[in-house]
Amino acid sequence: MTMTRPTTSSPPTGTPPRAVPVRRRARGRLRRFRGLVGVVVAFAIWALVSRTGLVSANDLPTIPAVAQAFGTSWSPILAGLGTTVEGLFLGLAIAAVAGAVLGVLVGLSLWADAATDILVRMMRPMPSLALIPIAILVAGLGTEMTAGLVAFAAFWPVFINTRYAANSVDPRYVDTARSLGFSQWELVRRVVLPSVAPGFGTGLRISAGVAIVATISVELVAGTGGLGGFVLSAEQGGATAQLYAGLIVGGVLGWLLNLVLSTLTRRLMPWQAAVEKRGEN
Amino acid sequence: MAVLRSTTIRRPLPQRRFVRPVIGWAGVLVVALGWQLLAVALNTSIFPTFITTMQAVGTVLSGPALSQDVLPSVERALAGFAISAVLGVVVGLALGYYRRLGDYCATLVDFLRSLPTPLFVPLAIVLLGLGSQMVVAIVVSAAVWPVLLNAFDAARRVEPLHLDTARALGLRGVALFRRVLFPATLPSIVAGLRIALSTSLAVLIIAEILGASSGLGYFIQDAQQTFEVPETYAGVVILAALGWLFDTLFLAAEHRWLRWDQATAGGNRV
Amino acid sequence: MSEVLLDVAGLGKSLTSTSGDTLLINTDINLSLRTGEFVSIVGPSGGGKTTLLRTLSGLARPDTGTVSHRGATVEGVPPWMSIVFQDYTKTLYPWLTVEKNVRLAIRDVPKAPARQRVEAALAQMGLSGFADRYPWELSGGMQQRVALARAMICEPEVLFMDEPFASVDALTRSKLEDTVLGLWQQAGMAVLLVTHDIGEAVYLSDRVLVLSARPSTIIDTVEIDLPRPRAQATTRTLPRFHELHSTVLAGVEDPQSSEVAAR
Repeated sequence: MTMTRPTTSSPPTGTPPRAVPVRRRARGRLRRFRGLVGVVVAFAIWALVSRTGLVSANDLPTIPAVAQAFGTSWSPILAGLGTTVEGLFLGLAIAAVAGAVLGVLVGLSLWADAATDILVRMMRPMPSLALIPIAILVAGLGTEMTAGLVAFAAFWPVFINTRYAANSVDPRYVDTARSLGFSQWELVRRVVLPSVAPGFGTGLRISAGVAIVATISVELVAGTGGLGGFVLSAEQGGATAQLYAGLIVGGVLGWLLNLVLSTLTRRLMPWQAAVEKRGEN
Repeated sequence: MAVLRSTTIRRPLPQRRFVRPVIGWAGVLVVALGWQLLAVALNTSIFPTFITTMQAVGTVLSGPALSQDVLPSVERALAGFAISAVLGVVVGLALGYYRRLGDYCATLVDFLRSLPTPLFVPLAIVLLGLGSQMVVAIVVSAAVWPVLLNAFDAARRVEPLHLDTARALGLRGVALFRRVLFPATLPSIVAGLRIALSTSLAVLIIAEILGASSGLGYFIQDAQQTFEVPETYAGVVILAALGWLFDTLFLAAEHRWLRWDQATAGGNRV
Repeated sequence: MSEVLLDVAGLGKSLTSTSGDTLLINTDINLSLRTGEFVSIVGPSGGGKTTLLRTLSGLARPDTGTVSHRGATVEGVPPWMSIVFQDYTKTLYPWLTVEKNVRLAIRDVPKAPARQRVEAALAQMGLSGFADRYPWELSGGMQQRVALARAMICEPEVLFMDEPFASVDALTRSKLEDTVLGLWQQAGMAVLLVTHDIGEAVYLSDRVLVLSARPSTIIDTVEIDLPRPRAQATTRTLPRFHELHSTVLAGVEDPQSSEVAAR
């Protein structure tokens, strides 16, 4: 039975203007779990494809096969992961420090900024992998070569982003600082560094991804073990399920690292998100 | 409105348009000079001088390697880039505009894009063999993400008022995407495309080094393994030049066709 | 008894735009500011009001002429001056709490007494209890009051304000205008206010200077002889208010002042 509503209706003055019925409100609370839907669906598709034989089991092992690969190879996987993480963090740490320092220094100097512009545009798409041959020629095979290469590759995103942030410190912040009588040094410490921090954070997250790629690349080419080495031996041995297992572990590593870094930046620098939400004035 | 240049932190550059590139090339020149001097000082066969390397570059580019390796690489990179662009824009905008769908796929996307590209290569070799197909597939697997994520992000941030206006005017589906959503998100998409372009080139090399029998990556690897040292360095220099060339052409195209959006085009920002 | 705090003679300033052209913004500006005066500068948009304020306060250096602060030409902003800018989102540092932002102005003072002074300043602005919030958690009007607190806490002799109420709504604007009047009457400092709102200028000031369009110079000075204390409800309805408003408006709309600023 439909209720006829008057064409002009005004809500009673005491009613809060809520348009969302109660049931929808409860669903809103589950919102954060929406992401799982995609993952579950992906697994479902995987299982379906395996079962119907759409793709051969050689190309796409079944879910149980991959799970079993995890079971039987958990030891080499973990060992490989450890090696990779070690090289990765060392290189990333060096790159972060160098990138931050140089990024700020170059970003604050218009001359240095212009002088490094073309060099940066040449080095940015340079995959660390392409430099491995040179690195091997120069430094042989070993941990110095790996760490050095990873540091070199991971340096650029941090450097570029920090440089850009230092370049774009809002002049109004600077005006305020000068109106408060800051010295040059105070200006850098109190205004430039906090301004640059979010840009550095973003650059670091990108660098983390680059560092992972670089570390694994070196492992694949120079045979220094790690996850890359594990996947390589799986490929050579025709163990496709192990291949997928190694790939998934690599993905989890990257995903976790990104998650940790973005949570950290959000906690330490809460103002960036809030400012962005308010929109540019 | 004339932008007031804040001269508070930094000493300003002279204001002509060619000044910045000139200084940039001066920087390159300084590095080349340093390279030359260092190589001469070290005098070792594994570190050729800048001049020797450039000579090798000339030889390589005038030889068979140009058509056998360099050009196929460029083709593969551009093909992969093109596919990534279309795929990234379409999927990114869809996930961004249809909120529910985007939320559902968010975690999956986050995971997929974290998969390290080099780990994909052995798998791609198993599935697609060695050759152009595999290389392009790897390129797409990496280059699609900057485009997709930027499109997604921009679609989420589109001014709701613009969308409401469009819907009030009766625009739906494809028409809405084409006439409102896409132009509104274009600046962000273009930024993503620029990153994707350099990613395409970088990933191309990775794929070729690890599993191709032709291409610039293969050339570099092969030269190193046969101890043709100047050729190895030459390959890397050609790669750097290609990277710069792609980027410069992209910026020029962007500047020419997107001049209406000065706000985000913002000059020579990296 | 009142001394000249700011003396400006023959001031001229040019700026270089991003395309490389040099534009003459201000030319031949002469004015003086005495202790305890409330002076407003009005003029058309793009006419160089902000540039003028930056030069007068020491943020920028004049190309021609002199700006003397208490008889001496100084580099930078002297400590007995404070500035309140228009865009409060970019002048309150988002990575500092309200309390820390205000304390920046008296950062040489040891922490404990400084905090007390900050609390007092915030209380004066009606912002008690917001000391540990971040600026972006506050409304526009509240943020601007924090900016005012920060400007006042070092007890300046001159307060510069660059269209400080342009970014808030009309109601908040009226309240802030009265807040400034109250601060001025209490502290007795000189105020130099740049605004495009003629009513605001007439309501607040002792004197209104009219700036022409670019290249701008002062084409008129209007003495405001309205009685004090002033109130939004009463002063603005006085016939004399409307007369003065028209006089200033005529000055702004003078053909001399509407040279088209080609963009």
